[in-house]
Amino acid sequence: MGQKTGSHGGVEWRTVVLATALAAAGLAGSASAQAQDQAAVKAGVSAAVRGDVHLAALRQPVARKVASGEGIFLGDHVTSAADSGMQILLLDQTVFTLGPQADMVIDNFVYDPSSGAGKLAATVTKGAFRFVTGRVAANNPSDMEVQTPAATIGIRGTIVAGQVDGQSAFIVLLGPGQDTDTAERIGRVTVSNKAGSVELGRAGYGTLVPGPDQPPGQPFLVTLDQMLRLDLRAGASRSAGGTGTGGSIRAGQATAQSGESTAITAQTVSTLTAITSVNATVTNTIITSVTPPMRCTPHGGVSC
Amino acid sequence: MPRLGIATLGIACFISLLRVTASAQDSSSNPRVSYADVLAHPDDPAINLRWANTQVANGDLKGAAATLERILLIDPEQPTVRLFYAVVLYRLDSLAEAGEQFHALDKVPMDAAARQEIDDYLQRIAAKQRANGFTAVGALGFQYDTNRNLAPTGIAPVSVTPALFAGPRTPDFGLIALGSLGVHHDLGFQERDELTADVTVYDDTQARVKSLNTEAATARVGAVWRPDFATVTTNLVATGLWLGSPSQFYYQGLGANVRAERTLDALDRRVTLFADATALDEIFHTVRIDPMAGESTGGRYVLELGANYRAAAGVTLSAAWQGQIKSAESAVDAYYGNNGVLGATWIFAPGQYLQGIVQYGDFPYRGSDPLIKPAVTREDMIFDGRATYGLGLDTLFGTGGPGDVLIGLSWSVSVEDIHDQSTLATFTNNDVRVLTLLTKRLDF
Repeated sequence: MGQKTGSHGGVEWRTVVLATALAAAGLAGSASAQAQDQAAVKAGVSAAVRGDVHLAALRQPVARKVASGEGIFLGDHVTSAADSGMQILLLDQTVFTLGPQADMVIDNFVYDPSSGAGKLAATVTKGAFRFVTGRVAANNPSDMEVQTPAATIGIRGTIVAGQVDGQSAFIVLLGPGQDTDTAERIGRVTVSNKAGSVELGRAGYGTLVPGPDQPPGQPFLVTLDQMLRLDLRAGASRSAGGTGTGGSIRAGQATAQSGESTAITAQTVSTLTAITSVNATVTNTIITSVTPPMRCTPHGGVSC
Repeated sequence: MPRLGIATLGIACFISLLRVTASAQDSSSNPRVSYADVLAHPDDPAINLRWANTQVANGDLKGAAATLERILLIDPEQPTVRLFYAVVLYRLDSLAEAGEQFHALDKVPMDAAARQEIDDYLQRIAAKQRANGFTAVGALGFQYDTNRNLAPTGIAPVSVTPALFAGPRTPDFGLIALGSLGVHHDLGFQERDELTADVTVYDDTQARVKSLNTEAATARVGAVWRPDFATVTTNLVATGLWLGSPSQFYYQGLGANVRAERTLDALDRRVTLFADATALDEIFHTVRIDPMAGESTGGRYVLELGANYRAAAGVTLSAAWQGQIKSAESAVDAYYGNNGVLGATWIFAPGQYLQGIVQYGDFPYRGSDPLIKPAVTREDMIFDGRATYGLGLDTLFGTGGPGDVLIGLSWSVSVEDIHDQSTLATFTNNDVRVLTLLTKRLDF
């Protein structure tokens, strides 16, 4: 089991070269020793922990409460209680978000920061989840896979949400959509099990997988109500959003102290629109619209 | 089409916001943070916000969405962050989620202009999610040509100049009007296959060379489908063109066009390849100024292969090759050709762009005119260079209230220089055209 040191963004990283977590308990002999070895491999850190989230490590199977900023290692078993949840920030910038009553393990994480190459496998056995792919999937989407009891999600660079309920799973592709004016790869996932496979290629479409022995259902446009079932996004109900008049960033208590207002104004909206206009399709649309469609010269659009 | 609004002031405002929030954590002068900082302080909203901005600046909007979501998981009562999150999701075309986040701001107090901007986003999301969408474009402007009638630069050895281009070199103004209406219907399939149709009408009224007054109409019916390998657009095309005053029906074209585009996942999705093929059956009708027009009747086949390269944020370079075959009833009017096109578009400020296109083509004709002794086969070498400046007027004057009329309104001015160097001096000509247009586009 080798390790090497790499550098990324001015920070020294311990590069994980190989790890396959053997999450099942009760492994004996050399397998157990190997598992303990691998359990030392750090895959990421916990973040945005709220409520009761517990973690059972391979070497310490007794679950303990987890807090933000703790290391997440291969084989760590993360479970959340009702009204609880967290994010797991993996070293390759993949981000998993877990909702209430979820259960998840990072099974395999191999990552070379210098190239972005690696392997990533995770298992969600219960609850609502969501993930945004990072550098491993960006380097080669097929190197990332998420298992549920009902089916496997094969990745092609994307944002995905899902809900695992017993042996069934509901998987939704969230984006990026085909009309994105960013440089992001268009989202696409393959949901498959031994009974069949479907591809989700349009943001907002989902599939229901009744169980591991039944094929994933035909993709369908997910309704808002169904989407809300997957709501683990920071209380994004229409009553939330922050009702304070200031809307300041929490860390910016200095905002109030300095007297500067950060209330939402038209300028704020315009600014956010502008700084996210990475690909500037906006103006390309203008360009297209003002090009005269025809001219009366030889060899032009219409020959005269 | 998202509005950029008074973006310059807005950016300053937002940077100010970032500075303030960052100061709560530390007073580092470096506004950017690394992912290692986030891993070390995963619940620090200020660091996360700065990381989100870094991600956006690097074009990683997908990652920024996860970061902003984290801030909101930590503290949902952050309307500015939620707005940021909503806009990022909109950019990612994650429309359902973006709509949800915009709606989550319903009860947040804000000024009327900001509320209007958010409502505009919601309307655009609703329009994108509708099965049927419409696009209307209207343009009005004028052009000035230094040689509208393409009079030859030299003296023709034999008078074979078509009446269409006869006469001395004539500078002229033209009033240009253009209208277009398009509709698309989402078939509801996962790959977002669409049926499309549009009609465009064009009118050019000349001040002096009335014989070149031009009216044209084009109708297209087609489909867009997106198999795994490309986005493919197919259209049936019908065009009619009238010349002169009073106008006479001069040209009709009926055919088909297929275009395929594929953005390569490699190279950070910077490269888009495209192929475009058109086949037209063209019929030319005799008119007063072109009594021999009928001899040009025949097919036209054009193939274009090219690539666009996103060199940097706002900078796109393009290169293409066009091959063309024109058949005609008379070999004198039949030709083939190769044309190379280079282009660059630079969006140098919100809503403002410069575009430059140069192309050079060689068009040898099939037969020589029997009236010309000794026989000379015509071959045209055409250079065409064009520079365009464009401006979205809403970015200049802002929107809101009466300013809403500026939404989708743009102004452009272009200068084009066309040199046709022909083996027949009759067809050697040069024209410089200045064109300015006000264009209004509505999507509904």
